[in-house]
Amino acid sequence: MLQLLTSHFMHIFPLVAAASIVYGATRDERPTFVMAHILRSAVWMLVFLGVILVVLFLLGWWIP
Amino acid sequence: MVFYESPKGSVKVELGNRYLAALYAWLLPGAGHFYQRRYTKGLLFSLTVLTTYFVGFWLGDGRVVYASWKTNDVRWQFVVQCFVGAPTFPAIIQAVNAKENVAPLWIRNYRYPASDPGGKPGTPAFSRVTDPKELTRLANRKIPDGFMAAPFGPVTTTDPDVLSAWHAELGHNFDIATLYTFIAGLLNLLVIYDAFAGPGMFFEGSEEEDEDQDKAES
Repeated sequence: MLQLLTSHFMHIFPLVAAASIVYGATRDERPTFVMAHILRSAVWMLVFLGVILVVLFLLGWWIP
Repeated sequence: MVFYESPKGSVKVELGNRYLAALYAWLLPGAGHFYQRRYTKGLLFSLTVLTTYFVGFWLGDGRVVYASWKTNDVRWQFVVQCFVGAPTFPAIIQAVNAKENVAPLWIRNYRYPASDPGGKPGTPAFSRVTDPKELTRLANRKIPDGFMAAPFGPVTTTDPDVLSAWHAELGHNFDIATLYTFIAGLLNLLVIYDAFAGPGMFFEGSEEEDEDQDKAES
């Protein structure tokens, strides 16, 4: 588990960064609003993926 | 001339010929925005999409972007990857060129055929040929790996083949790299939409929020 966290799960961060930058920048034209959208979508994606990770981890731990 | 105007009119964008802008945005991420003189967004999109694509391309050793509709190797991911535009064109050229027993263009390396794994015990099937003498010995029996070409020869679900050799060499990176290039394609779809129709401002903040924002900007 630790090995996975330090290897493949790390790809989440650059991918979420890329997705939130592009998604955020397509939501507005004004730089400050774009920044706000980028931050909001990054947090939203990380929380969403984190919840899925926790659920899968608990299922894996609960189901032998 | 076509303009985009946000619901409350606070943002107005000149889209020019929006069909041409969408075409440019597909050909090269960000190029549509440069055409519309939206330079900052163009640069941002170009850097983000192309970096994501080429990081994936590098992680996958240039093997994860290819077009193939062969039995057992329907590369459906390419349908999304090709939205990155010009960087995926070599894969289309390879797919058009691909015919039975015709070598791909731009050969990167050769592999041993299944019947001749180099004569060394323990050498996996379809491993790369690195010795020039072996290349001469194998003559036309060697298997070519083309740049952005589909794995040469048939792909089976039971026996080793070139695709399984790629998976063995790249490990998890084959799927991670596919994911990067796939996401780059999806992101460029958003960029194409932005170039064609302007920003997706379906909801604008209240006037007070906009005023606060304007004060903060000034």
